[in-house]
Amino acid sequence: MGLRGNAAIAGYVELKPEKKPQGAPLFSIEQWAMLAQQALRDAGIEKHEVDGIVTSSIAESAMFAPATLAEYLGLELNLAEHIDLGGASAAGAIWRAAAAIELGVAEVVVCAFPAGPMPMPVELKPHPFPFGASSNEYGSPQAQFDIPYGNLAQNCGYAQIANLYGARYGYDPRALAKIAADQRASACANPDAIFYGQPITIDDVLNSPMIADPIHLLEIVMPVAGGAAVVVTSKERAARAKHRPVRITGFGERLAFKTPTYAADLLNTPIAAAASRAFAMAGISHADIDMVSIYDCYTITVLMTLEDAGFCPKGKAAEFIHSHDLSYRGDFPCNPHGGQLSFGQTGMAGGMHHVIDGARQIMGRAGGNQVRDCNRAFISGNGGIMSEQVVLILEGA
Amino acid sequence: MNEAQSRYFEDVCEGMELAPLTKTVTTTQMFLYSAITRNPHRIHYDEKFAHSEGLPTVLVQGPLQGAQLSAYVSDWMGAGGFLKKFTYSNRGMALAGQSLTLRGKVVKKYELEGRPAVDLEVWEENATGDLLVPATATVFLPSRSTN
Amino acid sequence: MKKPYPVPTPDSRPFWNGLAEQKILLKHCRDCDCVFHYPRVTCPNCLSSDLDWKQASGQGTLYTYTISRRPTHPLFADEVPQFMAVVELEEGPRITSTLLNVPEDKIQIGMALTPVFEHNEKEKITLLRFQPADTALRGAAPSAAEDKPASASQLTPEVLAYIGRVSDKVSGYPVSAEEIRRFCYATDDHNPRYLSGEDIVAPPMFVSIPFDWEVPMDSLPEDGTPQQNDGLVFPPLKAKRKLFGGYQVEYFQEIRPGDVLTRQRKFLDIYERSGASGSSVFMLIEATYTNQRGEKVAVDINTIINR
Repeated sequence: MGLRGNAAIAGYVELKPEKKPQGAPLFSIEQWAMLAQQALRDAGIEKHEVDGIVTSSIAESAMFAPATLAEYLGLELNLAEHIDLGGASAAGAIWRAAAAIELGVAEVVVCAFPAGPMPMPVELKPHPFPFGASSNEYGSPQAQFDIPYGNLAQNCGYAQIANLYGARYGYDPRALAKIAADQRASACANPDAIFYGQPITIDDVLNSPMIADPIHLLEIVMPVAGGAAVVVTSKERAARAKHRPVRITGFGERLAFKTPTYAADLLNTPIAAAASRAFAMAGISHADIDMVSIYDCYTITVLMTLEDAGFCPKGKAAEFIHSHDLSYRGDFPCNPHGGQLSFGQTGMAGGMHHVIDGARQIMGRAGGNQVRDCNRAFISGNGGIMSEQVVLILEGA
Repeated sequence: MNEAQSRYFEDVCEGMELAPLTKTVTTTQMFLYSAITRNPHRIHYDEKFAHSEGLPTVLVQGPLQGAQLSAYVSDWMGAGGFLKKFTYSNRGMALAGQSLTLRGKVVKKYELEGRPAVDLEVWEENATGDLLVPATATVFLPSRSTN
Repeated sequence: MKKPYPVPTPDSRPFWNGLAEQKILLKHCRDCDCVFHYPRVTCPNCLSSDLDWKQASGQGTLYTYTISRRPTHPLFADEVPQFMAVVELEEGPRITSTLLNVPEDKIQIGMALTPVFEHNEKEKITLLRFQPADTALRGAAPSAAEDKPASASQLTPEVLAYIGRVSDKVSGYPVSAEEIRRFCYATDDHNPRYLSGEDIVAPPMFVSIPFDWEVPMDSLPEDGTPQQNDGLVFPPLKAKRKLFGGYQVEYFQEIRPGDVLTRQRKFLDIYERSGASGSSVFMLIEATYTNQRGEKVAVDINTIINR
């Protein structure tokens, strides 16, 4: 059951993140087209070969986004998918593309996630999501039972997970802070990272303002503008493309709740089920992995993923973190391009940072951040509040 | 109505609504207003500066919105009226190019300092109906009996 | 946008009505005996719709929590620090809530909690909050003002000393028909009383125009905010941005071409308001205008917000 490793990533584009965007603003649909153009050029694949797309929401097209994109780009599609899994959307897009390719439904699938500035509307409208990831529409469970108590946005939920973890297993703030510091060391070798040239220590993290106990400012991603796209194709077509093909050999996806209050067990995150399925599908074990790229909206997300994905026993992540160097040059490279914590969180493209992180290393294109002999990568995507999770196993052909 | 004519106290009743008036403040108008008020604040003409302040474009001068509402009242009362009191507050921002609608109604008819007076509520809202500038006015109107 | 409160649905209304009567009602599945929250039309355990309501004891324990030092949304700035709790009811279901009457250092995951039914008469809704069951653990939570470094008041005695200070009396540019016309064109006002005929008057909002003073470019601040020449010094504040907040005026005389107005300004009041993005200082500046005959023309008050 599952993928046979017959689909591969052939190319990608990841825009340099910007805090204050310099270029002209573009509509999402225009950004989508530019990202597709650049990713296809990177792969060396022609536009007329594209027969599938996977997209996140498109600001200008609340409905019929795939059809509008097909028309705009001049594509005829056999796979048109709109994905709505928050930070897990990018990883989710990749396995959907790979599955469609293995089924013979599509041959070349572009997965693009625009996250750049858009032109100002002629008439300012109310914000489409005034309560962020929580819906305040009449009848929405969040509107009735969570938002009125101020339970919305992300910080609060992740902090509740961290406090519960602390009560059950003990909380080592220095271990959590080391995740941020190690990733910053990687970012300092990556001129594209938003925090390039700004190293931090564990104490810097712990001395930054407390936002929601026990989470400090430097343990939270900073939103920036950017955008990313990946081209997925058959193993055979990828072999004739420009770079070393990066096969998708395993995946897992799991979600069961929206608000942490209603999770069956907040400390048994959905990544556990997703990871064990992905490893089983790929037929490899943790020891075979050369690098991990773990969705890192908060440091606690990384800690929970290390445990629940099986890289260390439950309750032992602090020890694991202290005994390994997590930077690109370390013995357990984690987010070698800086991760979202230090590269910057480029909106919905943030999840694609991790997919591209793995592809870039396996293709051998990571420049100063290259992990030696990198052939297999573990990628995680995480949406909501550790509520929707996807794992990918990538392997070089 | 023709601004030169007068509106008489007897012709006004409480609850009466003013005809809505929709306007769009252009950057050209904002330039002229900054010039007459000798106001070099960059937020009103320097788009890059507006971006650095977190705005999508240049901000309409708050007193310009007040002046438009004041003119709206003066046009309504006509040549024989006198604007006695006027108060407004800039609650929401207006940006260049947005369509803005002025509305109003008569809330009270009475005698003030021995003269026939009317209180008005007027306001400016944007195209989505958000209240941007609430205002109140007290005007003296001529009476047919004394004229 | 107003602070959000629950809007009951046909299915959930008994739950909210229950809270108003100080009862916690939970949905109960008659097929599998599962008790659950929030209310749904099907059982999340077996998808049956054979459901009724059961009253919970109200006792619960703290499943997890966080203390949010920043508002989770600007509309909740008044509640910072927010004691965000997940409470596990004795019957099993968990519920989103906040903690009341507990000092930070007494909060412990697993602590026993008891409900507080907080009725909001204006919104016609009762919210369910919790406090420690053990009265020995109760106590006041620190107020937002003590906890937030940003809310340290900007109203130092030095700043407050500015209230009542007056400017010099200065004369404005002589009023001219040309300047009135420029003002009318800039405000898109075509009222003939201001533009033509024998007896031109100025539109009411013109009154401050003769006092809008030019200063040399090198005297302007970087953002270009205009300066005045009447010697009224502004108080030193942390806030850098000055926003125009509002205006009120009373008129006594018409203004005509040839008039020379004189103005004196005064700090009427200085006060502070806290909001989501920190505190703002409001300055109310009153100005009195007289004409060359010594007659009072107008008195106005400008509200300037320092943020």
